[in-house]
This record gives sequence, C-alpha cells and structure tokens, in this order.
Amino acid sequence: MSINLKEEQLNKLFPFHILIDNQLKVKAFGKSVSKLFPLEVGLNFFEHFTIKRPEISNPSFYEIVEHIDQLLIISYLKNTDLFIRGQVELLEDINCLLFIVTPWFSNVDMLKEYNIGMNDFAIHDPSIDLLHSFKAQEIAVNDAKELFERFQLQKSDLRRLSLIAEETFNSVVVTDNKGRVQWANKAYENLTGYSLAESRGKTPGSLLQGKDTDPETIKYLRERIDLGLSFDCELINYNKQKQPYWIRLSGQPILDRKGKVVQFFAFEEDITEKKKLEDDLKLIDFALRNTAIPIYFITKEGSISDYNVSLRETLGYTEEEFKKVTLFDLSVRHTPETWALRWEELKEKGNSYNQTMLRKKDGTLINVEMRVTILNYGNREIAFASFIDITEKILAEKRLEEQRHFYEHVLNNIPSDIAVFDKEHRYLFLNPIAIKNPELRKWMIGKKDEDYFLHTNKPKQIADKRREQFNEVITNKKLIAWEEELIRPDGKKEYHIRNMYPAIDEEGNVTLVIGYGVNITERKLIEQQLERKEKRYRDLFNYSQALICTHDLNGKILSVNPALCNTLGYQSDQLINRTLVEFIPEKDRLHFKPEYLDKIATDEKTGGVFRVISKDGRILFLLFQNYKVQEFGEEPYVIGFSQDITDRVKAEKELLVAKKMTEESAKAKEIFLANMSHEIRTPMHGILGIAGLLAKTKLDAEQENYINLITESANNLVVIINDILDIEKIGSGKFEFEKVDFKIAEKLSTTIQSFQYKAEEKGIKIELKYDFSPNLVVKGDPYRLSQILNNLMSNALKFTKQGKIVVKGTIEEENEEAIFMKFTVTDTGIGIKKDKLSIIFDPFTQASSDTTRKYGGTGLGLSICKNLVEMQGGIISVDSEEGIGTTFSFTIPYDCGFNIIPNKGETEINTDKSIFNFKKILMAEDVIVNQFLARVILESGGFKVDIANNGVEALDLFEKNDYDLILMDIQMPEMDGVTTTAKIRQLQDEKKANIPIIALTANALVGNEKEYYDAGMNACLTKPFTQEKLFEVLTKVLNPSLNLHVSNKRNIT
Amino acid sequence: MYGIVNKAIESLVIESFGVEKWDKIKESSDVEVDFFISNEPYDDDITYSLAIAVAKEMNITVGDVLVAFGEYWVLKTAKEKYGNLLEAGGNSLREFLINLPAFHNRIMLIYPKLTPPEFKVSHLEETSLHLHYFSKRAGLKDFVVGLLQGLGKLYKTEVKLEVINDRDNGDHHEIFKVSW
Repeated sequence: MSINLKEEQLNKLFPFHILIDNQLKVKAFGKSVSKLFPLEVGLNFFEHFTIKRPEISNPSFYEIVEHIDQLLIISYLKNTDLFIRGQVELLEDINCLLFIVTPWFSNVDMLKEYNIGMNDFAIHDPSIDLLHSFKAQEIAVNDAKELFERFQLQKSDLRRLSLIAEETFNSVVVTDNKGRVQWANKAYENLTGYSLAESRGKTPGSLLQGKDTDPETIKYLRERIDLGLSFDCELINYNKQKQPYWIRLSGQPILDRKGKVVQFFAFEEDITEKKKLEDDLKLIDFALRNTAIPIYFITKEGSISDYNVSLRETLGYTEEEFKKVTLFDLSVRHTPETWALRWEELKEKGNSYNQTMLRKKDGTLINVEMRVTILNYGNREIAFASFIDITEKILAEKRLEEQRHFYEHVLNNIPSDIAVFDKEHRYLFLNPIAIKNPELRKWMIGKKDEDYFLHTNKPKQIADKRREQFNEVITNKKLIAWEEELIRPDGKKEYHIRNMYPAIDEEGNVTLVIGYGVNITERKLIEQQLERKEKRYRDLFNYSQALICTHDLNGKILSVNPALCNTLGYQSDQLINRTLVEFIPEKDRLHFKPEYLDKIATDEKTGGVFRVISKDGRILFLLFQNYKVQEFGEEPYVIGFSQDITDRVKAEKELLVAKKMTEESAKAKEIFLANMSHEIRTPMHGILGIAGLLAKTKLDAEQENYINLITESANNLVVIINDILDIEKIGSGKFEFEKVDFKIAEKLSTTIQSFQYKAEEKGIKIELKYDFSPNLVVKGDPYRLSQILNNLMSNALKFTKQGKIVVKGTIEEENEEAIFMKFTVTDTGIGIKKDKLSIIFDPFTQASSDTTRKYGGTGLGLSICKNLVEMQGGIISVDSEEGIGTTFSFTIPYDCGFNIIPNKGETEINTDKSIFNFKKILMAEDVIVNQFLARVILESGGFKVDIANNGVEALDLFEKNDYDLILMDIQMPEMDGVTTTAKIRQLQDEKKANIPIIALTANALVGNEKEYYDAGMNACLTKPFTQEKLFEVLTKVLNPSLNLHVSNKRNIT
Repeated sequence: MYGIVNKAIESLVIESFGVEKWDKIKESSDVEVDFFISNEPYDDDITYSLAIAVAKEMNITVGDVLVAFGEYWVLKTAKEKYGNLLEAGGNSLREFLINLPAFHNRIMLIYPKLTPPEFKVSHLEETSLHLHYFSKRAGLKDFVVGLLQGLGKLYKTEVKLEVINDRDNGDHHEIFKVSW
C-alpha cells in the first residue's frame, strides 16, 4: 500500500519535517521549521546541522540511510542549545531523505524564545504536554521545597520553644486535664524548691498554696480548670522553704483535635519584684497625680493624654471641661504647626527647660518654668511636661526689682553722701550726692578712699582718718560719727558730718559697712552766726538798762539781768529759782496768779505795773511788758521787760491830785454856767413874754419904741448867754453835730429870709446866689449851718450902712461820697483893718474897742463860727478891705444825701388852733410871772388852764381832774418835773398814765433833753420861748398822728 | 480540586488582605489543611468552604469571590507558574479560546486525578464565538467568567460576556458568548 500525502497534509502531520536530496541539500521543509532556523531550499543541510546522536562525524547520504531506524538528535550549528529530535526515512522514489522531527525544549520558556505556539506542533505531538508535565513537576518540586522549608522552620521554632520552655526563667508546668503535674521545667524547680519528681502527679496548689494565698483566686483557678478554660491570675505561692512569692499564672488548655481538654499548659512568672515595682509605681503614680507640681502628657498631635489634679486646678478647669482641652488651649505660642516643629526639636534635644506662659480657663496668663521631655515607649512617643507656676515668683522678682530701683532711687536722692563698702574698705556703692560725676562714680566701685584721694589729689590725711574710723567700725561693730573739715577749690571751708555703721549678719560678722555723710557747712555757719548773735543778746541782756528776767509759767525766776539785780539790790543767785510772788507786797499777792500768771499763759503777752519790794524794803513800781515764749520741744517760759517807774508814779499821783482839782473846778464852772443860764433865762422868758403881750396892746409911738428896746435888749442878752454857752460847750468838748439830710438851697433861703425885714429897714439889699439845683440834698447839721450863716449875716448887717449883702453857695468839689460846699457872705460894710484880720476869729475879740462900743456884741460870734466850721472838717477865711467891705468864706464837707428827705415834721407843721378849743391843760410852774405868761398865751389859743405850783400839786390836781396835756417845768420846789412825770407814767389808770407831757425848762445844756425823754416826756421847750413856738409844739403833741419828740432847742437864739 | 487552586485562593487573600486575614478565613472555613500541595487533589468542599469564608469575611457574594479568583488565576497563578506555556495557547484571545478545548483535554492527561471541565467552541466569528462549558462541578460558572475576563486583560482585549445558556436555568450546560 502506498500512501501519497499532499504537502499540506505532510505539513499538518509533521510541521517540523525537512526533505534533503542525495546531495544533502535541502529540498523542502515543514511550516514550523523556519521559526527555529533560517533554512532555505538548496542549502547544504550539514553545513548548518550536525547529528549529535548517534554521532556521525562525516555524514553522507548513505551513512544517514544506515541510521533510518534510530532516534536522531540533531543540533543546529549556530545554536548548540537547540536540538531537534526524530527519525529519517529514505524516499526511494525520489531518492531523498525525509527527516520527521520535533524540537526538544528543555523548558517552557524556550517556546516564547522561538515564538512557538501550540498550533506549531502537530496535534499528536506530545512535546507541549511534556513541557506542561515538566512544569507541573517543577511546581510540585517547589511545593515540596516550600513545605520542607516550612517544616524546617517549624521544627526550628519548636526546638527553640522547647529550649525556652526548658530554660526560661519562668516556670512552665504541663498538667493533665485535672491539673496534676506531668512536666515542669527547671525554673519551676528553682522557683518552688520542689523537683519534678516531687511534683509529678500532684496539683501545684497542694504543694504551693499557703496562708496568704487568696482563696478567691484558688476558687477561680479550680473553676477554670474544671471548665477546661484558660486562666490568668496573680497569686501568692510558698516555696518548699515556705517563703512566699508572687507569681503571675497563665494557663491554657491543650485540646485534642476533637476539642477535648487533654492537658493544661501553665506559665508562671515570678512577679515578686514586679509586684514590688508595681507597688512602687502605684506610689509614684499616686505621688505624680497628687503632687502640687502640674504634670501632663502631650501627644504629637497636641492632645493631652493624661494629667494630674494639680494641672487641672492650676488652670482652673473642672474634670469634665478639661477632657476637651488641648495643648493649644493652654499654650500661648503653639499652633499645631509650631508644635510639630517643636516636637522634632525636642526629639533631637531630648528635653527642654524654658520659661513660658500658659493660659488659664478664665483667660488669664500665668508664668511657668516648663520642662518638656519626649519619652519613647517602643513605638509610642509622648511628651512629658511639668511646670512650676512662677507667676508669683516673677511678680515678687519684679517687686524686688522695683523695690531695688526704689531704694536706689531713694538712696540716689537722699541729700546725703551715701557709700557702701566691703570689709576691705572698697566702695560697692556711691550715690550721686557723694560723687556727682557719673564716670568717676563708676570708676570708684572697687576702689578705696586712698585710691580716690590719690586720683583726685586730695589731702591724704583725710583718707587716713577715714580708714582709721573704718577699722574701728570693723573692730567694734558699732556706728561711728565724726566731723570732717574740707577745703573747697575756692578756698572756703566745708564741713561734713560722717557716719559709718556696720551691717552685721546672723553670725555677728560684719558683711558691709555703710557710710553716709551730710554737708553741714550751712548749719555750721549758722551755728557760728548763732553763737555770735547769742553773744550779742547776752551782752544786750547784761548791759541793758531795761530790767529783764525770764520765769516759768509758775512764776519761778529762771534768769535776771544785772540791771534788775541792781534795781532790786539782790545778787542774781539770790533771785534765780525763787518765785516772783515772793517779791510782791502781801496786799498784791492774791491778784498775782489770776491777773498775771493765768493771763499771760492764756493771752501770751501782758503788760502793766508790778509793785515789788527791793532788798532794802522800798516798794518799787515796775512798768512791765511780758511775753510768753514757746519753743518747739521746750517748756514755755516768760520773758519780761520792765522799767522802774517809781519816780514817775510818784509824779503822776501828784498830777492826779492836781487834775482832780481842775476837774472839780471845771465842774463847778459848768454848774455855775448852767445855773446862771437857768437863772437868767427864767426872768428873760418873763421879760420877753410880757413885752410881747405888751406890744400887742394899744401903745403910742414912744411906748412902742420902749417896748422894742426892751425886746431887743432882752434878745441881745439871750444871744450873749447862748454864745457863752456855746463857747463853753466847745471848750469842754461837749459839742455834738447832727447828721441829717437837708436841702442846702432851702436852708440858705430861710436863713436869709429872717434878715430880710431888718435889711429892708436899713435900706440894704440882700442877694442870694447859688449854682446848684434847688433840690440838692446833703447830709450834715443844718442848724449849725444856719447858726454860722446867722452869725455872719448878723455881722454883715450890723457893719453895713448901705449897699448890699450877697450870700453865695457853690459846690467846690464833689465825689461819690462827699460834697464840699463853699459859702460866702459879702457885704459892702466898713471892712476890717488888715492888722486885725489875723485875730478876728479869736474869742472875745473884735476889730477894735470902738466896735464894741459902737456895734455891741460879745466878740464870741466869729470864734464860734470858726469852731463850728473846723469841727465839721471845714475851713473859714476872711477877706476884707477897709471902707469897701468884707467877705467871709467857709467850706464844709457834707456827705452826699438822699434826694428824698424823710418827713421830719418840724418844718412841715403849721399851727392849727382849731384843735386847741376847750382842751384842758395842767401847767406845773413855780414862777408866778411864767404862770401868768403861760396862762395868757394858752387861753388866747382857746385852752383851759389849771396851774400847779410844784410837782406835788400837779400830781394832786391831775389825779382829781382830767386834762388833755401837761406843761411841766423841770426845776420846781417840793417835786421837780422829771420825778412828777415819772410818777404820772406809773399811774394805774392807763389813760392818765399816757397823757402827753411837754417839758418847759430854762436848762439849755446838752444832755438834759435825754433825761426828760427818758422820764417819759413827749416834747421839750426851752425858755424863753415864743407864743408861736409854744403853739407849734402843742399842735404836734395834741395831734395823735404826729406822735413825735419835739424840741425848740435849736431855735433858742 | 488540585491544591494549586486552593493555593491560588490563599495567595489571592494574602496578597490582598494579609496573612492574618487568611488565617482568620481559614479558621472560619474550618479547613484544617496547613499547606496545599499544588499537584495533590483536595476535596472540592475545601475550595468551596474557602470561597464562602472569603465572601463572608469580605462581605461580598461567593459569585464575586469566584469572579475575582478567576481573574486572579489567569493573571497571577497561571501567568506566574505557567507563564510562557499559557502564552503558547495562542497569540490572541480568539486563538487561545479556539485552543482552549484542546488545552483542557491535554490537562486531563497531565493531571490524571483531575476532572477538568470540557470546553467547546462554536459560532466562530472574527470578533466573537460561543464557548460551551461542561463541568461536573456545579457553581463554578462565575469562576469561568473570571477566567474569561482575566484572559481579556492578559491579551489586552476588551471582552464582552453574555451567558446564553445556564445550568441554573435548566440548560444542559453553560454557553458564553464571548465578544471582543
């Protein structure tokens, strides 16, 4: 049978076939061959291949044919690792050799190397399966290797564990499931003292438990073993010597594959030391937790993993609050970023110790000294931090620093030299008062006085003296003070008081010496001045003619000067320490304390006259002026100055007698004048009154002339009496001036008016001129102005035969408070000789004796005018030319008055006779002429009049009858007017007691009126009075709306 | 199942989750075998128990475990252990899949104690084929899915799988339409 295969079929069945001809040249080859070799048709096969087995060294076509039934292994010459294997067959019909081969790959990787896939092989070809098998085998081998290694490892571990179990320091016991010992290691034997042989078959508890073994622990162990469970506990065991020890016992059951407990494996660790350490640790833990030092642990992330109470309390948190607190809540400087950097830094350094600040819960900051250490526990790192709160310390240091600054400031500003020395006399401190120059001051620290004196070229002896004093302080340990005299660069002396005192420690050793000095130059100079002054005072005291002594407040004499000793006739030691009172006459002694000692103690000064007894018994009068002296820190004392006025007192006594006599004489004169005035006025009142009555009767011309002469003579006599009284009042200083508001113009006008009639009779013209408002009001005495003008007008009219009289008023000066009024009265009269002008104002003087004869007058008028002007602060002058006329000028300063004058009544009141009708008047008057006169006048006015001759009669009549008014004479026999009035005012009948009473008196002296008013009288009339005046006063008194005191005294002229 | 399969599961778990997890899985699977020998046959229950334990421990389905394991088998176990032999199966996914039936037939010879599954290819197209899967073991369908996905990755070819027939649905065998 012959089979023909197509090339495609041949390729499918034998993809690696190669056909060569008898020339050994490749004729054809399979589809997969080219993946292995770069074969081409026509190539000599054996130039590229060689048959490796069987070995054919020189292959030829026929020789190969010889090997047809053999396995051929052919190698590729260019790659000796690549083999193909198969067989060769001779194709006789075409005389070619067909190699049926397949590649032989020793490993699967070669497939990839030659890019051979499963489809490159014939399906029947098991080559790839072989490779798969090789691979499976390789994997199996690797598994076996791995298993073996693991086994070796486990074996090694087991051996090591066995050894550990055998040799470990801890006891290892294996028991059966009932807890009976089967095996134990050496450590067990060492620990318990029992050998394995002794222990085997027994429970460890039966051997090892003792009195302190906790029964609860034993119970626990028993239960766990019975239940076949693992156990772990600590308990006290006793060794064979009955010594207790702590063990940690861990055991677990050993189970068979079915889970049944077959044995227990127990591990016993001797924890006696550990227990002790644990106790110690507990103690340490307790100590750390309870220590006052705040402690805490910080993680790398900044959380606080543990802390003690002190930390929490120091920072003011509750336990609950503190759980949320992190490092960043406490630290003022750390953020997570800075803490991470700090952590690394700390790890490098190991620990740190620094000052920082922590924030408390309430936000306040505290200063702390912080210590942080990074601790390393295996893989765990933690920062251990502790601190001491130094807030108070810092505050205290700050305070100390402030205090130091304060003391230094104080020391630097004390106005004394201050220096501090060490024991060797070296300067440690100097204040700026001691040495002003700061450079020098700095230089001196550590130097001695000797260095300083050398440096500044000062005298060495001062330094030596200081050194000497310093040594004494060191030796005696006591303060030393001395005075130092220095010469300044300007040559002047300077004095210092120096002090040095030692600072001594607790053991009594001198640690420092403090020196301070005060410049006492000024004080020294003052002392020197004081000494000089004291000497002066001493000299003054000793040589003074004044009598000087000092005594204490009890009167004890402390010192006396020689003048006093001489005066009294004693030696000073006979006076000193004795009391003043001893030298005072017995009679004066009672007054001495209250009137002198007490007075000077209170008033601090007093003066007067002492009567003292000298040694020879004479009584001397000493005029004294004494002062209390109070000096700080001293008992007060009295310094007395006196002078002997014994002779003066004697003279004064004589003078007093003379004065008394003079006064008595003056009084007599006054009484005489008063009496004379009274006695003349009384008849003059009668004369003028009767003459007035007579004038009203029908008279012939001659009779009328006689009546006028009588009236004028009487009026002249009244003027004379008034002038004499005024002169007397001026002389005795009893003149008084009123101060009332009045209109100047009105006063001038009314005054002049009264002269108008007489002037017209003489054919003389009177002119009034003034340059101020008719309403100008001034405050002063209008009556005295009127009196002066009356005098001057009277003179002018008297001495002027023809021509005119000009009265002029001007304001000379005016200010806010006063108006200076100038008045002139100018006449065209006879004038005054120049040589008489200077005496014209002297009393009892007239221009010539002819004048008196020719013109009459007392010569008192101008003198009175001058006195009245000057007593009101004004001046009066006269200017006259004989035969031409005279001008009298006077100026009076008045206070500025109110423009509205209060209603004084007197000038406003007019007599209203209608109210007189049938009014009953009781008149008390002892002089019959006056009784007659009054009755005629009153009855002419419409009054009914009863007369009483004295006060007694008046009272009698008054009690029996009702009257509307009483006219009361003052001087009456039996009972005077004042007494009578007083009695009337005391009557029970109120109506009677209040009856109006008008005093009628011839007493014209000042002061009388007051007496009348005081007695209760309502008005006063001075005799002689006119009918008009009487009616005017009666109108006022009887008009109830004008209840005023009324007097005619001003109009007595 | 030969030990190589269990070893592959062990390897996958250890590689993915660590030794401890493997110990835990093994403990929970109640498998007491400490060492799997690759060429040694083991009870199929062991493989299932391991797969179930992995699923339980990882909280995923057994199906997911088997898919993951199939991929791993191709990409790691087969590639590492058989490497070039695997690649010799074909130069492309298509070629490999065509050779797959022959490959498994050969395995039967190499591992005589193994009862390998049988594959057939039909409906061969240029970009798809039908793969018929015949197995005496039930429940390894997902393992095949994983294998096919793994092959796609091995040949860097995007694979689309469609189960046309499913024993779970009463079919005779599973047929996967594999498209690429």
